[in-house]
Amino acid sequence: MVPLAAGHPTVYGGGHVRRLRFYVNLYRMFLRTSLVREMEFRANFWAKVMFNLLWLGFFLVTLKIIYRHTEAIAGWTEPEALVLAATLYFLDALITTLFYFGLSELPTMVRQGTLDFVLVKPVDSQFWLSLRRVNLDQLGSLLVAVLLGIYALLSLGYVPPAANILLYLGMVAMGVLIFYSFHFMMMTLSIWLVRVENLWVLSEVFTQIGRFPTDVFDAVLRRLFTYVLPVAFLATIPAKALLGKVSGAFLLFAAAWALTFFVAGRLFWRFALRSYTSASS
Amino acid sequence: MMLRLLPKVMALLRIYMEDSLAYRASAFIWMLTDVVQCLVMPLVWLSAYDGRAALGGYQPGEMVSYYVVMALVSNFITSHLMWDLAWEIKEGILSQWLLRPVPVFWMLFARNISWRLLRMMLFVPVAVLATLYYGRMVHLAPLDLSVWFWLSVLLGHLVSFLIAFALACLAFWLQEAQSVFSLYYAPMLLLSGWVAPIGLMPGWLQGLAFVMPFRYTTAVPVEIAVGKLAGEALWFSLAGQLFWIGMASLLGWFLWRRGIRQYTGVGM
Repeated sequence: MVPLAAGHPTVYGGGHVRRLRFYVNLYRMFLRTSLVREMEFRANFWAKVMFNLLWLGFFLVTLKIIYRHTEAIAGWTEPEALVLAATLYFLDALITTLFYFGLSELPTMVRQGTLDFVLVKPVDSQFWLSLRRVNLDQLGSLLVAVLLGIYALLSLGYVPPAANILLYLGMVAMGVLIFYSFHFMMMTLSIWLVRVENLWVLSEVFTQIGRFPTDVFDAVLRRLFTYVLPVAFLATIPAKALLGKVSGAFLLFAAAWALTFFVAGRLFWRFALRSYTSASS
Repeated sequence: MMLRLLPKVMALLRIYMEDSLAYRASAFIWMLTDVVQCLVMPLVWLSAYDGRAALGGYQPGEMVSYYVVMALVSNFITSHLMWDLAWEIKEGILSQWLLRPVPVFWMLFARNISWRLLRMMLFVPVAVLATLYYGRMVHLAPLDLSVWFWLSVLLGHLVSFLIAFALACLAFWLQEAQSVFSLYYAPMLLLSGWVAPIGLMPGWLQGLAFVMPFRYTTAVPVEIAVGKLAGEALWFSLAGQLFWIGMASLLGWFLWRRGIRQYTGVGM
């Protein structure tokens, strides 16, 4: 039996509102501890901003090299590709802020047996594993992404209507959820692949495909990367939504797909835990 | 000296080859990044041609070959040993190696090259598949795999290995050498021609590529293979590879000697 600590939702006798309040409070606690952590290593903040800028610059140079020789990649002009780059960077910053580093520790916890301490906590293990680390040092990157996006839209001479911006934000949210579920599933593989230390590379590969417009692929691959392995939601589809090339109805599909992915991730985790044999015992 | 070492190095090679095989799953996952690079970049370029015969002197077939050969060759050439070595220096694992009858440098060399060979062999089937896939879309010209190509692959391996070795030595002094390593990757990936052929880059970047060591790891052999490097430029590039092997050896030797002195001071 799992020991029931004070504050555990079932101690109150359940109730969805109580349960929700419990998790909201818990998240607030995560935020606070993350903030304290951040204050301890303040020099890191600027180092990380610089580091992210370096990689953004790297990608922008890559785009520049290609656009020196052509006006369009699969129909995407240079400013449009900048919108894509800004979107990717925006999404990446959100992902890193919300869950990336915390979740990426899962394989190490499995290897060292510290996952046991998480499993005995009276908290949903997925919640704890995913959200306990809030990386506030990514706020600088978020700002840079927004500025880059504004610059791209200005050079495109296009002011997106409010509806497009809403659609864009909705698509970005779905992209984050899809990436989250994918990353969670890849990290969950560590329950079986205990000795494999580079599972995170699988998620890296996922974003690597989504970095360029998925229109460069032929029809078969494009469908694969939209419907099966939905990397198109990381940058291509949100960017198209902002540029008014995606219908609002597609958001419903995106939401359904993102939800399916999320549920699949959760079921996969439950399934994996059944075959988890602790490293220590 | 070299001759006496040879049997030991061969024995180490065998051991590390077996060791590398134990990490098949890891190797497979790393390989996927090359697969994606080989799939995405040529397709991005192919959809940029828009009916033109060549971009910056590269015909579509040459562009595709460039990326496939690059992925294959860089599997053998580009070394990442600083991550492990820095960790081993910091954790004191180095101490037990210093007691062995083989110089640590040669042990590292054997370990690195075994892993690189395994990674390259794993990639060969992918390269074949990529060739078949792209062969239907574009005309792939035969590659120029002369003796100069093979020579520059070997030299490129040495350049990359020696730079990574010198970088790893920073762990003797720096607590957070890892952040320096991360910084190394952006210029390395760009200027080694991994991202795109250097000939297609803007002038200032090309100039930078010529004076930095990275071009002399992978870009030189790959450009030879796709027929973009011949005559005087070829000799100049091979000389550049030798030059950087010399420079990186000196730097690595210097840092290692200083580092080892410091290391024993801390450890004992």
